Amino acid sequence: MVIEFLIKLVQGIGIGALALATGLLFGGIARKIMARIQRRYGPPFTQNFIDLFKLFSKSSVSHGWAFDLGLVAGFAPMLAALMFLPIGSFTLLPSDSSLIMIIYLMMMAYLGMAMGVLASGNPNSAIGMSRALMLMAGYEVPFAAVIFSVYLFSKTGYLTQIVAMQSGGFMNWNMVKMPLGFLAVEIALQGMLGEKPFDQAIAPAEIASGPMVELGGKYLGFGMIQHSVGLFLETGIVVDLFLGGAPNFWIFIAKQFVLYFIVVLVDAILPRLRVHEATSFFWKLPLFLGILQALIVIIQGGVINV
Amino acid sequence: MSPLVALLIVPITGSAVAAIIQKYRIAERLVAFLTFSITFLFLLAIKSGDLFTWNLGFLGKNVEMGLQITPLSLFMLYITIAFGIVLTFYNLSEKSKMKSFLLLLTMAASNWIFMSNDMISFFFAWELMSWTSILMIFGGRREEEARHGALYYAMMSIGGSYSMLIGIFLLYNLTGTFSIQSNISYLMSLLATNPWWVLGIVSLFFAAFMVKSGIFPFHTWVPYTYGEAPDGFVPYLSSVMSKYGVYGFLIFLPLTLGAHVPSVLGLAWPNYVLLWFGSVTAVVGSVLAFMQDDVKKLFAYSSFGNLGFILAAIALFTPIGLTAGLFHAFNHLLFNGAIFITVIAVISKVGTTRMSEMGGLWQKMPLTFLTFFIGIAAAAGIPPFAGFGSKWMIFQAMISHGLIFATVLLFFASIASFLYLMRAFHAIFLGQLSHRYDNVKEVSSIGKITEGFLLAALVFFGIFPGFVLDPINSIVSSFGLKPLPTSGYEYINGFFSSVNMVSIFVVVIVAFIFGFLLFAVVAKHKKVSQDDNYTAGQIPQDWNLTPEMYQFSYDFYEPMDKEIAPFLKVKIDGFFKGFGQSVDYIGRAIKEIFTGNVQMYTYLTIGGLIVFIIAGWVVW
Repeated sequence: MVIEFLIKLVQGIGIGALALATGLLFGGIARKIMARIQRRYGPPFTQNFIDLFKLFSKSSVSHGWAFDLGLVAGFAPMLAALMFLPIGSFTLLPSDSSLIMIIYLMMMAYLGMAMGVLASGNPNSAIGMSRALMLMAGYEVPFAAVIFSVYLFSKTGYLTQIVAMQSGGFMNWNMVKMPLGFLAVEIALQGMLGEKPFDQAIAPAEIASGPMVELGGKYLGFGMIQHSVGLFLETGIVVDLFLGGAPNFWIFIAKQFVLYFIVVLVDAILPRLRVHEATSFFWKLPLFLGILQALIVIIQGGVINV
Repeated sequence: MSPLVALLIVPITGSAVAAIIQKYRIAERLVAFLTFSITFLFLLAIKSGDLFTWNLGFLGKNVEMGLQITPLSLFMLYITIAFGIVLTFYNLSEKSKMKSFLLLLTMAASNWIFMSNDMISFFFAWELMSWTSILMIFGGRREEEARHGALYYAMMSIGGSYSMLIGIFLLYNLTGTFSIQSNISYLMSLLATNPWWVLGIVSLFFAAFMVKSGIFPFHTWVPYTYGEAPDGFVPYLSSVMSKYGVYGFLIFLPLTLGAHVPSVLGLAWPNYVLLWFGSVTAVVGSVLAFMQDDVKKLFAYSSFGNLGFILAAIALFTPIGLTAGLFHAFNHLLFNGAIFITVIAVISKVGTTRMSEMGGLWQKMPLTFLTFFIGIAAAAGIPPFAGFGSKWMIFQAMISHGLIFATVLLFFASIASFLYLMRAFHAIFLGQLSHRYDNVKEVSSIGKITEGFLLAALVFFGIFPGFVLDPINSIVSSFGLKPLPTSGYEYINGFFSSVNMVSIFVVVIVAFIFGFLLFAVVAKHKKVSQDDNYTAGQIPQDWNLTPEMYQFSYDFYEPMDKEIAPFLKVKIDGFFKGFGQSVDYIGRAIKEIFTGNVQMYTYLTIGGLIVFIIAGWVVW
């Protein structure tokens, strides 16, 4: 029992470290891609690692215990949610990999992060947070519609089983079977990751980086690892839902990268929308696609009569 | 004395004692607390299936009345009385104008509602509950508004009660008995021949239950009433009294209409309509909530929004739907109780209900802040707290029927609830602390114990949902449905998947420990005050920056208003106001008759007498 727990603990730390490294690496590559699109040389792709070490070694200011607790609470649930995600063929806790549970754990991370940055007492962070939440009211709705259609389609709520059902080649992937839903999730993913045109919450040069305005040193470091782990988690969920999971870790991150690459390219060419435009956009096209997908699944016989 | 009768006698006696000594606030509150505790002791002696009957001679007729305990009523009694104990304990240190004797009378009425076996005592208890709570609301903080709120509530309640009364007498006319069981079985037998007739009678009852639970379109009284009720009473209103409607719905829902009326997606259409009422209520409540500045009103909207979730789930009347609905009823009682108790604690300290005038209170009231935080986390449905399991089950129950539109609406309501909870959290506890509140202190030790207890309960019932799901399963089987499989206290078994809450809790705790370790080992930090803040290079003293100016909480979701504005044009409230005005107009017109002319009155009397005689002659 104890040994088992310790093994899981070590594995969990390993997963956390891998996810963090992947997220940071993705961030670094994204900076490089962005620079090349803008015809700059750009920082080295390891820049995010360097930044993180720098941030963690610099002293910083705190606005009190709620601030500290909030930043930790912004990171810890993300880490916890990661433990239920099927990564490649490996899932640390397969019996609890319920999708809605993972999504709600991620919400706890947002709640914690919000508590931390709002406790700083800076109105810029409050404006950023209000925007982030309004945006969330937008992208979560089409995302939910698609999740429910996947539930109905696969007749299970476990990510591990959803992945297992897609085994056996490209044609079995949910991406092929539910193209409209996949498209809706792709658009929602842009909002989830807070990339343009949905970067209203951060909005550099407008509201002083929004939620991050009072973060410095290790606090910014925590924000950064939260973002990196969140990036891994969100793209990972989409890979498991639509791209058939992966036989091993490397293919898994390759698939994640493809998703993220699209996000970065869209980010590079689009300007920022106003927040209410962004929210209502999510309630139009992506929600329409999501609901259409759900209706198709229902008509195909997805209804389970109890 | 049967313990069933004790459940009525003890609160009424306590109420009499409290009424006599109501001048002494502490003694009165203590009586309330002791009465609730003693009632709970009597409750322990009660088990499902207990029965107590007596006969009431009335106008030469013998009416059989009775008290009966079903698994559902036992569950409701336990959760409401237990919550009452917590609330009255907190109220020992609370200073609003709440009258304990009215609270105790409400409790007696509430126990009677849950136990009554015949429609006469059900109706009587229902009325007693309505009137005591209306009287209670008159004692609100702001006299004028409180009167308005109470009258609004009274009008809606009376409307609901009339509807229920007509239903009761229609049934009595048909069956010649007031017993709930016989009437339900009569309705069942009527189903095959006259489903529409059954539907009509049941709707009369449902109108009353919808009014009491604040289900759309009868939700308009809720914010006025909750907003103005005395602080010590609001948690009871929102946690306990909103559940009477749920109990009422569950009396009639076992009438399975499925085979006799057209169905939608395998669901009888009346159930489908009810489900939509629930979903719309959830959305209306959640969306209106995030536009409020008054904290009590915000949580009033939130309260009936959650009732919408419950109604949507129980309207399905499948094992998982019923379990989810009842589980959410319990969780709502718990987290809404925690939220409202912390909110009234804050209101009593800062003396205002406007959120834009608060802020930064976490520095002054750390335990209240933490309880509120866990409360909203539970309300938002975040694992591993109470509230997650039920929301998660509601979604599964809805999806398994393929009800995609209603499910998406409910999910939207759930996200919107996240929005208003964050807004309240920010506006009350986070951000800049005004200098007005420099002397604000944490709640008294009684308050601390209550808050600590609620905090622990939110975590405990989150990790061990089985302690609630077990009684719910026996309710589900008492309705003739197959309960969900159980596998230990830490499991929630849904339709699509099941989760082990203990393992989630352990993972979250380990992740937090890891987070704190990381936080501790990396570079040091020093604490700065809230004035030490980024101001874009400006010197705050130059433009007399005050904490109030540097707090952004008024109109927090202003950009959203543009998107929601078209929906706000539909004014349900306006409909009721217009109705009130036309009643007023008719009343004035009738008043014109009373001119003061005696001759006129004589004519009227004679005319009335003639009508009366003719009517009597025709009837007999």
